[in-house]
Amino acid sequence: MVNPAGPHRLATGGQIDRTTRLRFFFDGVSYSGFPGDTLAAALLANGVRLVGRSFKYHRPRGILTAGSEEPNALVELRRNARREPNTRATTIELFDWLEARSQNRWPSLKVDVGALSSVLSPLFVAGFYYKTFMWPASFWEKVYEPAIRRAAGLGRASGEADPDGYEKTHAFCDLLVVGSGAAGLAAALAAGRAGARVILCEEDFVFGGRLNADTCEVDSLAGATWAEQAVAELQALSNVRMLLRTTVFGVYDGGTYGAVERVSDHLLVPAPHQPRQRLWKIVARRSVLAAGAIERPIVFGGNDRPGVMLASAVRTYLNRFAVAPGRRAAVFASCDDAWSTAFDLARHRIEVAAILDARPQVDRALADRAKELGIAVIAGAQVIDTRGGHELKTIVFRNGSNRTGELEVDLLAVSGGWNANLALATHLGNRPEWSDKVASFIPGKAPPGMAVVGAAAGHFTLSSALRDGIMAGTQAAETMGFAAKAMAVPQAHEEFDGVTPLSHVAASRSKSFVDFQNDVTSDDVALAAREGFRSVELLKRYTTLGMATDQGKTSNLNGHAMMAELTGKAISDVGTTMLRPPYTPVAIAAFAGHHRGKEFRPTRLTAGHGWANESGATFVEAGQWLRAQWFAQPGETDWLATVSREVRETRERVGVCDVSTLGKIDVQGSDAGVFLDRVYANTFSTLPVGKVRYGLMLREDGIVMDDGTSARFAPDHYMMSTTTANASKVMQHLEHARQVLWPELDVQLASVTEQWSQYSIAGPRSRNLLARLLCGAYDVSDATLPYLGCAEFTWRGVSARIYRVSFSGELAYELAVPATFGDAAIRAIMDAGAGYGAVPYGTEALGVMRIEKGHVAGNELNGTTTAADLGLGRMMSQKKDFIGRVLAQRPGLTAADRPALVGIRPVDRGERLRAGAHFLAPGAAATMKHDEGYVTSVAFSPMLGHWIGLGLLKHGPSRYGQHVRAYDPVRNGDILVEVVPPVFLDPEGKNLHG
Amino acid sequence: MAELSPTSALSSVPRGAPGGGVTIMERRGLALMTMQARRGQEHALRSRIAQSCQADLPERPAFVTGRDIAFVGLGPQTWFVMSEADTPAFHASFRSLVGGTASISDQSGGYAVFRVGGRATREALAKGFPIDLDGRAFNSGDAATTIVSHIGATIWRREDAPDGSACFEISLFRSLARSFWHWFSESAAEYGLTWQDLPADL
Repeated sequence: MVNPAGPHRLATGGQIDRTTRLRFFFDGVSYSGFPGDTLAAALLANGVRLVGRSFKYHRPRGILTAGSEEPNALVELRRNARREPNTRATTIELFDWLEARSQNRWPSLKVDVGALSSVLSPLFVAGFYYKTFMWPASFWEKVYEPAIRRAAGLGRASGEADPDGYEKTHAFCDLLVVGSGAAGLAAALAAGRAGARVILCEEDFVFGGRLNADTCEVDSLAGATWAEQAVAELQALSNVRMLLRTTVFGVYDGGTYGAVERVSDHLLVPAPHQPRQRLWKIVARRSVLAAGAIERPIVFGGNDRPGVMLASAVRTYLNRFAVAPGRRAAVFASCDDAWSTAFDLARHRIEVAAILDARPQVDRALADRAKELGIAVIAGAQVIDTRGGHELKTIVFRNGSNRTGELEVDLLAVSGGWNANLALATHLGNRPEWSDKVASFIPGKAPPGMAVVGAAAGHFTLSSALRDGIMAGTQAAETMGFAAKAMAVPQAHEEFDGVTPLSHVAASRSKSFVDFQNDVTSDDVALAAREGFRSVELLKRYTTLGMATDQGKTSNLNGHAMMAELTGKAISDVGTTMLRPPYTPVAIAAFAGHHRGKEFRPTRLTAGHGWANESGATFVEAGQWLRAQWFAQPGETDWLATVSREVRETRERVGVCDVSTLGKIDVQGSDAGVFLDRVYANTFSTLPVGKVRYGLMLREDGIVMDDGTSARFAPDHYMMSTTTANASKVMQHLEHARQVLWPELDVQLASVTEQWSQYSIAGPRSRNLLARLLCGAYDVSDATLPYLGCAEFTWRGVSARIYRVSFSGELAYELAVPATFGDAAIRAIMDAGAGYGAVPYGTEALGVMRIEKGHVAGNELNGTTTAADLGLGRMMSQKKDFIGRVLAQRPGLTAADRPALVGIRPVDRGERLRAGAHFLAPGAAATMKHDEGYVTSVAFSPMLGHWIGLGLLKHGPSRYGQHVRAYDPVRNGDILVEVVPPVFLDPEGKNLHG
Repeated sequence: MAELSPTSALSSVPRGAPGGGVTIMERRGLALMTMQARRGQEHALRSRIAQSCQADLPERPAFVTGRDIAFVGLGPQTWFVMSEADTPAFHASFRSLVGGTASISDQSGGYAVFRVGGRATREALAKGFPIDLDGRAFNSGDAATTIVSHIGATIWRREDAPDGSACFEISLFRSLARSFWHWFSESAAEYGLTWQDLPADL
């Protein structure tokens, strides 16, 4: 009878819930597993051992590991918009109705046409692309690169928007513990009991690390039971936070750590209001790196065949998941630790054909134990090849006397020893150091505040992990001022940790893989050595060793050790490549968090936004602000028609525009006037109270920075306005001037942009509208409020301000109320204007009207223009010093032929002008040498019935009446324009006075 | 004419998610001001505030209350001033109280002020505030000018609620209230979010 739990599921044991059956699909076939399984465990339980095709040669691949270092078992998880490529089957927690598909195969996993490339493999050696696609050079862009790009990459992105949410969060602690194996739990216990704020992060979905996977005892308890008790104690401490499914992926400056929590990856869909993943920024005073170790494979012929597995992974599947990864096994190792795999297999009644230990001498005690269990031991042996097509059937080995033998096995457990998992210790640039004693790189200098413990430090036995953890946790707590009680080190049996590194079986003749994920073979490493790519950094780039999702966790050391052998160097001299964040791949979405789409950055809305929306506004982004661009009326389909109507109705009757986004800065203090004299090119100390003046501000280098008006409400109180775009820049500039340049002045600055909702009311009927609106709260007659007057008053219970200023050139006012009342105010304004035909207008009409009046704006204040260029040279006071005065006198800035502001109109009035077109003399060739300036702003003037523009033209003001070409090669424009004064409408300014 | 009606900084946004792990209210109707000591007048300003408001102006990022008024330290010689009575008369009287010792800018419409509480407040706030709001690091009366989800904000901690849960107040530019709400409502939703339209009190 077929075992319903899967043909390879052991009858008892494992940290799985056998009472619940989970259904899942792999390549469309239905299987079942248990809660507590990974996808890899459940596949193995069901006898599925072929899970993918390799990247380059499409070789059949199985499951190598039981952790995040997995190079082979990469699958596409979920479907449609949730489809996620390259997820590691060894870390995917099984859930009901999980769907996964193998990658890099066509038409199916078993029959894969791409595997033909394996036949051509002599061609596809390292450097193949560099050597092959050299010539003809012209083929690179059109032929080679597109073809290579098509072949590149593993898995398919969904191409659809991710339907799930992601978020970011911050945490602070005294001690961050990375990893919850024996060392991590011991450190957390020591520091947690002392009262330190501890955060413990575990990338797996259970705490305990290898305590769950190995047959071991701590304080006379099964390792997993001890871990369970430690976790229970930690969870009861309010000062300890335990994060499961959370990978600390990076170490950054200042004790900052990045971590990603897979909140919902183990669910079919996230629960309501739950993100799929959460990015943690953790700031820790100290940290303990207890990330354990990663077992090293051995490079030998056919070492990538499904059924070849790391020895520790075999134990994990046996002990934690109650899965037998094979029926008849062999162990191939060069270290003591892998022998425990043979013993565990035997304990679970799985036949062990032999232990092949590459070392000529093996530990007597281990050999005795093997003998007791009836396991053959072949010392000095090396596996040189494997056979079996899609699954391992036979291994070929040589024994110590160089005699070849074969064993019929479907599982080969391999171990070349362990590599300390020290990645995080190197993120701030510290190089690891090679230790001959433990045959592993171990951390050199650790990042500030970090202690590396247990296997991550190269202390590979359980007892040393426990000792390290207690010591590091206690020390961290004490140095941070917590009173740690002395804590006994939990007792564990002594273990065997002998190892003689073996990276490569040189006697192998068939393809031997160093890097499974990138299909880098021993031949590739040898080729790199022959061709001079011997530095480990060059080796990486030439062969792709250690690239892609696993970043060489199982391959780097073997590759580097082989290079050491080939070049006759010690590993310590060859060194190793630097590891950078992230430790394992992190979805970009986790970094984006809530900031997707329109929420990419914050948006600022004026108080009148809701009203504008109701009134049919189309909005445009102006920095962070959204501003009404125009207000289309029913039936209007052409934006230009809408804008032209808004201009005409404003100039003929009255229009209302929300100008709240303009920067507003309160300038106060007894020296406010002196201060403004120094930051503006023109004089403000003489401005009477109740008056407004247009001001021009220069940068230190003499170029115009910003313009705007400043109003004086009291001898010691001005209110400056800036352009929307430059509001924060001007504020910074003023604060710099106040705090650094002239700290002796009594000046205080406050941004009040947000405080005031401000509406421009412009047009011949604006005064009528205001009179009706204000109902006597303030007299807007010309006598009380002349042009460039301002006042504060109380209107309908609120403080209001009024300024008689005009950007449109019409009789115009700006009315300001606190933003809390901005919505009520705009509705009241439009009500009052109903009888006068008032219309709302947006930024486009605002722009048209300022061009008609020749007022400069952002297009002209573009960071290259001087006051004289803009026709504002007379504003530069000769009587005082101010920022930018001296450098504005530089020869280059005062040259007579600098392009200066002019107006233009097409000679043929029916033609359209384009901003950005360059000025050329008629008949001159279109080259930079003949360039005479350019068009900065254009608009269709509904008042004149044709296009008009502003531009910067050499000797411009002396060329009124001349014709020049406006040449626009980008849009094939080349038209003749007439140079005219920049003020197109009402040059005498009669309209300003109504 | 009738008085103009004030509008919430968050009018017409969806509010809340079932459950009560986090509560929020907008403190409306507050008089808000920025107050900066005039050059050489800090001492005089302090004594006027101490005398008339019974409050010691904080010399650090902190929140202190006085008689019908509260102050938050924003920077050197700069404070955020809050009072319940947002009327032109109050503003005028406060201005005359400080006289020539400080520059006052009315910000009653410039900032939105939110009060947040509930058992999961800190978890929700941690998703945006990059500072340590734990009781060990941020006590009642502490304040910080920082950012939340890319938005400039000042946060201060009030006295704990009767149930022992922490209570914070947050001020930010009014125009950014909707973006703040987008972040806050999504961040608090998993704990349950209840909107409380309670009358403002200090």
